[in-house]
Amino acid sequence: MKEKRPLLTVSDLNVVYTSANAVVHALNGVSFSIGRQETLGLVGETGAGKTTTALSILGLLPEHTGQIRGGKIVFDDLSLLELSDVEMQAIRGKRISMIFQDPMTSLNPVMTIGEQIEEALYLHHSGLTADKLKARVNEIIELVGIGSERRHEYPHQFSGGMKQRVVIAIALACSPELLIADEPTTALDVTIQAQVLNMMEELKQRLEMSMIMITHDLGIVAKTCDTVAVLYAGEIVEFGTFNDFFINKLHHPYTNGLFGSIPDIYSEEERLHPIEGILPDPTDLPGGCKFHPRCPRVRDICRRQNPESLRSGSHAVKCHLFKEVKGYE
Amino acid sequence: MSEVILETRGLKKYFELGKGATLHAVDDVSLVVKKGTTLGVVGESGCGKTTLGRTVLGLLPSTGGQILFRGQDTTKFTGRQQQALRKEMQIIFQDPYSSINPRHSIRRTIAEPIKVNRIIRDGKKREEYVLELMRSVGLEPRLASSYPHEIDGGRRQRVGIARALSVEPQFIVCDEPVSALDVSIQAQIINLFMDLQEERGLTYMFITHDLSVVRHISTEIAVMYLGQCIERAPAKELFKNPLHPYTKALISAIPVPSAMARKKRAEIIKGELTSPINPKPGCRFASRCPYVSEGCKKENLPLASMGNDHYVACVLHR
Amino acid sequence: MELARKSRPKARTLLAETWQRLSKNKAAMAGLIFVIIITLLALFADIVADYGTKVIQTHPLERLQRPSLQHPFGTDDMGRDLFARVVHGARYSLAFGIVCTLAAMAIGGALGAAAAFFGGAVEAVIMFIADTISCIPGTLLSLSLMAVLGPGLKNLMIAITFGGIPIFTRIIRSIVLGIVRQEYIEAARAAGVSNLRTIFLHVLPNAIGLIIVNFTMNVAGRIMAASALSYIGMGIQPPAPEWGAMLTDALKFLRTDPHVVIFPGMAIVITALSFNLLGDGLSEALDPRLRD
Repeated sequence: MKEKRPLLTVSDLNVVYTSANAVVHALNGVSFSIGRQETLGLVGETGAGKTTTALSILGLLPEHTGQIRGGKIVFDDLSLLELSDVEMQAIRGKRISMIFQDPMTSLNPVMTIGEQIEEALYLHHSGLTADKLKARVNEIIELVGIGSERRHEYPHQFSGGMKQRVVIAIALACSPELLIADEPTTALDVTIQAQVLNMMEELKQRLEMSMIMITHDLGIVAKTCDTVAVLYAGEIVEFGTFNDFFINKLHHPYTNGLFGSIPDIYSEEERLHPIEGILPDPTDLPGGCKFHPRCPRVRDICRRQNPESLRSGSHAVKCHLFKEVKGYE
Repeated sequence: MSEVILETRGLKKYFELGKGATLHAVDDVSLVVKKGTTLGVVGESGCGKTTLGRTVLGLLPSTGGQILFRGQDTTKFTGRQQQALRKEMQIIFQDPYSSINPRHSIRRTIAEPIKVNRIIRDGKKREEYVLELMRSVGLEPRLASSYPHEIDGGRRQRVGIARALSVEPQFIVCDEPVSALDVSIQAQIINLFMDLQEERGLTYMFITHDLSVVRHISTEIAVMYLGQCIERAPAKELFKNPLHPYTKALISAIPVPSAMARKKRAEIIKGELTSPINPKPGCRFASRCPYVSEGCKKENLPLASMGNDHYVACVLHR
Repeated sequence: MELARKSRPKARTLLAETWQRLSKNKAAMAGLIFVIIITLLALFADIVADYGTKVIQTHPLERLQRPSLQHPFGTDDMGRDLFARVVHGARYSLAFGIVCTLAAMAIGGALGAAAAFFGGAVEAVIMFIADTISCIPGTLLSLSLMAVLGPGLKNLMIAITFGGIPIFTRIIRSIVLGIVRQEYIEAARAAGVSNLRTIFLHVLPNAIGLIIVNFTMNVAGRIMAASALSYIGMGIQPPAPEWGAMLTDALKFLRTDPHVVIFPGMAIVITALSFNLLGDGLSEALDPRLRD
């Protein structure tokens, strides 16, 4: 029976990056939660704050330039932001794991893949004997669809898709409860992407894991996610379940814009309906609703006041227009 | 019936890697592109689409076969004729960050092809022309004095487009021109491509790995796999009725952003690409094909017509 | 409908941007100031100290005096004002440093750029020669050249320059290789730009930053090479006030009158260090990865 309590809750997270020239407001009050054995899709374009969110959860923000200015992150009753570095290290890789976008640079070119998986295991289960360790490594390699005889090979001997499987193997070595996948298939061909996404779905079921799938591709979201959060200029402008997003047609204007920008292979539309303008400058964000300069339905209030989140059941939208929609408050 | 502006006949581009190893990047590709249309060239890594684009343009010397531009075989052109071709065929690159010179102003980048090909000699007229070009691609004229690092990726790509258009070419090879852009910007640029085509009667060879984009913008689509063109059909026909097993797998692998995503199960092809170096005869997809049979490994199949302008190279469709 | 972009006080051209970043680097600015001081001293050496009386003429009665108001660096064993000699010595060092490095860069650079741009046989031949010459230890190479050419300032400069050529061939080739791989070079070709124009208008402007950095870093090397040769007596002959030569004469007085060793020695060290700090700072300032 699935537990009702969420596995991870992020509340009002506020993160900035400071440099000599400017302050980048990366996250401006991000809140969401994810349950057990659930996949949350975190959607957004460049600079929206997706990777920053992931790094904040794991305590991996760049030391001098990244600062968490406010908010809470609660993982299974543990307040992550209050943990020491040593305590976080016990969680990273063991209870929460992360995989990054580019498999080319995620792997150490001078260690065999077997050694790299072993390293992940060793850090968290140093009690295992050498034999047990090897057995577990073989088990994991097979789990991601690579023959265990390849454990002695080096990353460069694997293709892009296989490398990403190795990265996944390392991340899953200690059977984490939460996997954060940051654009895991963006660098892969579409047929390989299908293979890898399928595999991730199977593993998620088998290991009873939750997953945060960070992506800009709404197609991947539709295929893999139970809940979706849309990130824009460091805020979650829309949150909902798969049904709320793909069956219900009411969306935040930005989300509508995203849907309108994607060429749909099943539609006959001649022209796409892109969002006007360019992405906001994170060092100089607009006042009021951060999307207002690009919104086709902007009103006066949008320029002055940043909207609160309006909910209807599982669906939440940060938009003044929704005040006039029944059921949203 | 519009005229054929570009045709390739058995086009080959091989790279000698030394020690007898030859990389068959483009292998016996025959395509026909009519004026005013868009030929989408689609495929995954290693299929040779990028090499095809550059070879067709003359940036890479071909190894065999013919490239007929408006009826003339460009593979036999002299240096001077090649130079003249630059005014007729142009290219737009994928990466807006590395395809324009970071040390040159926008104005200079766009003006260079005009200067070098001696299209407009008068400085003042040239300046007017550059600003007009910028307007036509959606760039504010005030950005003419800006430098690449001061503007975003979407605008930089517009600069690349303006540059390609400056010589008023008839045919443009677009090499993954929107792949490096964010989704919302991609849509703007795709619309721009389509508008420009309508306004100027341009012909595109649109190279991409993104099937949704290619369906939207192409009149006809050619599917490439390891250097060979394995299927060719009008865009909507290809998606409605894909014949080659690879094409089918490719299309079913696209994650669709709608509720339909959960309903259909993708046909997952197993395995990895085989090597394009010294390939064995026969269909190159054979090792991964769920319908493989003995006949597949014997010899290279040519594209066979299935009617409706639909061509496919597969034993299942003889 | 476009978003109004807030105008930032950001520099436009490469030069302005580099300067902005460089001026924040204290060590580099210190280096720059010293380089300017040394250059000024070299240029106006005659005004600072008259060559004839102070630098060359010997004053046996005033030999080996400690630093004083009259002689800020003291006097050497021939009674000559050490300050004047050091100042005039700057001329030699800068001549070697700047002129020889420029020449080595021009020749080595042209070869390296040709190797990178044309590749194939051209590259193979050029790099083979460059690699072979670099196998010979620098000082040994210069010495052999001096032996063949004979002594004298002009020959010394040729020898020092020659030693620097293979270094620049390799450096410039590496820089150009990095640039020609960029898509905008391909774009230029596609637009019909000639090879020559591509090299001068596309490759060079993008290489200039790195070239300048390597230039400043190597100046120190050339100065040291010249001083080393003079030190072993193969370079500038006395009574010319070359710092290396001054060191040779002065070493025997290290224990009794160290000032005769310290001042020329410090001059070499500070000059070399200043160029290096400046080069280092420029390198960081030009690094596009640090761009915002």
